[in-house]
Amino acid sequence: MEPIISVQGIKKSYGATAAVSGVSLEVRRGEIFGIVGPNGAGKTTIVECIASLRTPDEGRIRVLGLDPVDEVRAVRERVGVQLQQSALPARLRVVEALRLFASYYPDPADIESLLIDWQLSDKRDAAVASLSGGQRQRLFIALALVGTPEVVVLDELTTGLDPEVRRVTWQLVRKLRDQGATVLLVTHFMDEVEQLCDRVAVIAAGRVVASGTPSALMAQASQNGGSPRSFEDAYLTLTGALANYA
Amino acid sequence: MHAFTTTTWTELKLLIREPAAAIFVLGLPLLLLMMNSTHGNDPVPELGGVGALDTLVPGYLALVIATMGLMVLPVHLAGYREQGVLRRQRATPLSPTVLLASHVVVAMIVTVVGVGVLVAVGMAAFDLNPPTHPVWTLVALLMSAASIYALGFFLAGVVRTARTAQAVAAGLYFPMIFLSGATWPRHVMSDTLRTLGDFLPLTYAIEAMQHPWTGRPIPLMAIAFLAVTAIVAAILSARTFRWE
Repeated sequence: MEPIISVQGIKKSYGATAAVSGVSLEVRRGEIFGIVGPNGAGKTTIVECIASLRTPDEGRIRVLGLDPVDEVRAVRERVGVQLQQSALPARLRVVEALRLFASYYPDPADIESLLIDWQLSDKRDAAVASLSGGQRQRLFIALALVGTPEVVVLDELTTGLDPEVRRVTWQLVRKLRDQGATVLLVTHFMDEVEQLCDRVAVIAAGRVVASGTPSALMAQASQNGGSPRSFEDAYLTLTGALANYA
Repeated sequence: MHAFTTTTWTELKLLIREPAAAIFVLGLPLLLLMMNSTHGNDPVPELGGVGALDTLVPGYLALVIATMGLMVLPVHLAGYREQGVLRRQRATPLSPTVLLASHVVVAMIVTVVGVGVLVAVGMAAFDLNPPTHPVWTLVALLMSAASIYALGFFLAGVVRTARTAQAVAAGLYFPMIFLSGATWPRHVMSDTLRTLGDFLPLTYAIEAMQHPWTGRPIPLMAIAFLAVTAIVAAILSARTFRWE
């Protein structure tokens, strides 16, 4: 079965800094695939290349059989993204933002359902600048879904959200997967990986250091001499991060 | 098309919610109109028998265009870039051409309203005569707007922050409005200042609008210059515009 996303040997440098130094991974249709790693590991660069926002210096990417470099529009129609450093005009209202972005897609989702699902109904006429951190986050997630994407890229999905909201968000991500979308989840929360991800790639210094199911990675970490009681332990062992602090 | 109309309509709504820019665009020209209308609009021999106000008002129209195109538009777009608004829009299938076109249309709407108010006030309260050749005046107005907005877009595309955009814009705007004849007439300037003004698009914008307004021969060279400026600036913008 063809992977829905195939990344082969991508490299990307910003000036003299090599952000991604040869990353290959595959995402299967209908899974929730996690990408974890320390800050500056290259995670955001990788997903931006997949979502057709950056062009890798080397390597090959296929998303739904399409090339994000040459078939930009087709990829963007099918891939929804919730990015870290993005913003909306301050005085734009929530429902206006959803309608604006819906107008960009050939097959937009139902705005009212999105408002309900992401608990934004009573904020529909609120200006973006007046939203709390959690409300903003939920709006940006809803925007990622407004085009009924087949692939959803979520970058730091639950950062800044209260614990109850995180749980509800995880349920909604599972619901997305149940509805047939494939989810690419960039996160630094280990509990999120354990709870949500079918498989995960661990990125450090621009390379994949390990990939597989969370439990497989935990097994791998115990073979490397760790005794992981959680995915977090496994992650720290696999990235050798604890060694830096020993 | 749906994306274009929704984007344009949304931008218009946002503009109305923050009217400072629109007021700025309209305020100074109206003020100048009221200040300089004390001379009346009777035929003046030094101006070839044309009224003072008929000669001055095209300059005020150019002022509306310059304020919108150099001071408002670049700062607005650079601000969007700096905040990450453009970046988010780029992650969608929205065509960059459609996005820029909608900003141009909104700028045009503000300009047309500004021009309309200025001319209406001028005619109703200060004896301003309607243009002798209205079609050519309109052509000149559109050409002027096109060239100045294209310059504004180019500026917006190459600066990094809204603050830089503001500084560079001011560096272009103030010399332009003084040397072009928008704020006071060129025939009272020294030869040096007049020569400097010969290099500015706004000078040709004023000439292009003034001649058909006052019944003088249509300045085809000025209109051609504006068209070339618009095309060159538009091509440069398309090549250099950065979304983040």
